[in-house]
Amino acid sequence: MDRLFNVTCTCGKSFPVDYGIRFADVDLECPYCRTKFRVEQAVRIDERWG
Amino acid sequence: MTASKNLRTFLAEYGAAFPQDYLTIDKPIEPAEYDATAILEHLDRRGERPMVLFQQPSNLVGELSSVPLLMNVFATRARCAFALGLDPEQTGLPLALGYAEKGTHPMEPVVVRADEAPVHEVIASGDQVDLRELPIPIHSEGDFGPCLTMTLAVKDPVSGAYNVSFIKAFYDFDDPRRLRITIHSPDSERALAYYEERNLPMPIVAVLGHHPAFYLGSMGLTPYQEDDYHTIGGFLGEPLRLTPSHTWGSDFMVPADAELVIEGVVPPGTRMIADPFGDITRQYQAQTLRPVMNVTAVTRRRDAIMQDVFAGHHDHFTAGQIPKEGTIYNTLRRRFGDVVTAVHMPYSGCGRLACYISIDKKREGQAKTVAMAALLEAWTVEVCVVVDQVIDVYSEQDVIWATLVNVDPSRDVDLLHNVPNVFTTQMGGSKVIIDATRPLDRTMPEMNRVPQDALDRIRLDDYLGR
Repeated sequence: MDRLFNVTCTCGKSFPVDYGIRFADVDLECPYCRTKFRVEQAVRIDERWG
Repeated sequence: MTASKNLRTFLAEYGAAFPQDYLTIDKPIEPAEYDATAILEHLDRRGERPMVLFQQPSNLVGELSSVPLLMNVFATRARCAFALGLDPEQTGLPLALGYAEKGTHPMEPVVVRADEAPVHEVIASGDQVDLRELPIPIHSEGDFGPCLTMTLAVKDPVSGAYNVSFIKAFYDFDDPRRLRITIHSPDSERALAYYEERNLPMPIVAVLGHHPAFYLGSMGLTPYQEDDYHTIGGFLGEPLRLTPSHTWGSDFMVPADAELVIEGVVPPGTRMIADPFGDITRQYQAQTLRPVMNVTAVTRRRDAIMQDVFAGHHDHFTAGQIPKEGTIYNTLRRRFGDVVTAVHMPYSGCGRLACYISIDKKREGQAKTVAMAALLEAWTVEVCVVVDQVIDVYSEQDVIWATLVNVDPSRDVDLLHNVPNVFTTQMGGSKVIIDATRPLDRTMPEMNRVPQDALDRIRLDDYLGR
């Protein structure tokens, strides 16, 4: 099973992210508002799903 | 001459045989605003799973698409049986075995000239391509975006064999000629690795509409480098008609009778963000990096119908459930003979996570041996429950009853730790075997029953006045 974490975008919505790109040099993309942001820019990072 | 099997021959035959099970919706809908999946969800909650043709879906720019959208084709086992030329009344093990039998009769495809292939009636290539013209649905709230859910085909660069697999292809908001694709089947991953090691683009095509036997045939567990185009012929019951692709000519063949084909290349080493997607386990797959497909051409019938799967629902579960049941049953029968009597991958496990097996138990401990063999065969299974043959594995109530009554948790439930699982469940890297057969080495009351001679003697109609 892949480890996951959960990020919250500035739009207030959350979505799951694969742990494999936790430290990758890429923008995540919010499926709700299409904002692109780095993991560290997330309003909240929730790793309780791990 | 009889027309070759294709989606429209199926729709005509099925619509004539089961008109109540084939809905046509004329009212305009917006698939990218969840209209299609909301209609299907309403029906599903009523226990209704008809095949639905949306005649007037909008495309991704909100205009009426010239391409209707067909969904829920695989949502019932009876419909899949009909598609395979099997008895739709026999939806249990006979369907799974009928499926498995068809997989043993591959047929050499036949070639149709490109200018005679229905799939080439309309061709858009290069700058003419605009995927926004298609009625691509968004399936679940929180999905990454519009997503094509049918099969993609790749060609093994060494053997030349084609592999056809269900692979998600997300519309790319940054480029209307690009898809972000979730290559995950072992054969397509091998092909991609070959191309990427040589820094070459990999040709790939999406097949968005064909006879359902085409897609069901692609789900068979065929060995690596066995050509799925040949295998699919066995399921169609006739050779698959192929035609040279628009992009590569005869170097890459495509199904001539498909409704709509998207041709493209996967550039080596490119990965872009894709997902979440409400997938087979009814959970969201996490956002991650995926390969992309740069579209070179879209070819289609003049009046093409685009097919799509209602993901995370019966349409999705059934398509994989039937092939796996047949494959597991045949494997277990080869090893254990007639000890194994039935196999079912229940809907509660999304047709993937759980496997119920019934056996004619001869000695204590046999159930676990059978379960271990099943786990080796079926890599998606996380929980395997073995019951006696008197239990109908297609009746979940009976399987749960047997589990509640027969299982001594201290010896009949086994956990296998640190094994790979493909799905994100709380099982993690574990699998569970449950021996729910009646113990032979302990005293146990038998299951109650009305005597068979009484059942044979009493004719219900005599008493109910029918």
